[in-house]
Amino acid sequence: MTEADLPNLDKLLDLEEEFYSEGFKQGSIENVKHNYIEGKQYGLQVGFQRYLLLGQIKGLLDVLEVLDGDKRLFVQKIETVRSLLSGLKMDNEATSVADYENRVTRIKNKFRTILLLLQKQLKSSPEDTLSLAAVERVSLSIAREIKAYVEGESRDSTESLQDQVQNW
Amino acid sequence: MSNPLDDVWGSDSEDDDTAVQESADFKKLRENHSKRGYVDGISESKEAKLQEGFDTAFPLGSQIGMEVGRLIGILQFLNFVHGKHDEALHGDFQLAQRELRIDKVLTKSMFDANLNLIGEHRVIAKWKHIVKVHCDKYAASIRSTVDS
Repeated sequence: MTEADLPNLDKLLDLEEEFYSEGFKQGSIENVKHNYIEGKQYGLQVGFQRYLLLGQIKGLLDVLEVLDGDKRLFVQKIETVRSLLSGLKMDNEATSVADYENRVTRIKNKFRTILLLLQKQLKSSPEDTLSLAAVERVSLSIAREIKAYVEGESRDSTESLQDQVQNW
Repeated sequence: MSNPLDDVWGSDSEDDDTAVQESADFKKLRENHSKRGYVDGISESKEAKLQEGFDTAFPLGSQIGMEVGRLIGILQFLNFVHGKHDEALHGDFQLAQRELRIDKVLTKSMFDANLNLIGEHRVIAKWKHIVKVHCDKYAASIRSTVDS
């Protein structure tokens, strides 16, 4: 290589750098876009899963309140659950998530008590009653959080959440 | 036989060949380096914007989950009280658990390419209507709240 060749080599290196940068930029843009959409898929799913049971409890209380029967035993407890539900912030901020965890535990405990009182009032046997476990079973099956195989159910119910994520 | 004018004008084809060769080299150079950059670009940006996408869509997912849950809760309690004597109600409660399952609700056809909901969610709207019919029968006072 002679000195005369050096400017050409510089040009070549500049070109290589330019092409590399072009590719780098394109790769970043496409990956970021892909990530954003993938993040949205997860966000939709996790939001759905976190709030399904709470919506279910709200619906159950709505009906319980208007059905016939003495409600005096429940009124205060239902009011507490409703106020816990109404204060929930549906975002993923750290404080909202911590508040959610705290409220969910209290909502579930209070709701369990309401169902036990209802069982007493209806004088129903344990097998003929509505338990929190029965409520949660429905919620978990809709949110696809049951990974164990259940006899008689379709095979796809054994798919994990990750499998389902890829079905989008 | 060589053309005497070639000496004057030179050979066009020789220039063309060189140009083609340069163009092919240029293309190859671009392809190789651009590809390397592309792969590095993907790898460098790893999980960028994943969290932002999650946080953006989380409230909508929560709202949909809450709405679906409420419909299921209303049906579950009505079914608990009246299901033994009301086959249609019992059947709808069972069917709702299948049709409102997460993978049937959070499905591409209900969302645009950016995963925003396209208008009203059809499956949820269908079940709101069915739930209202059962409310009319057993819990008329909450019928009007089904849409809220």
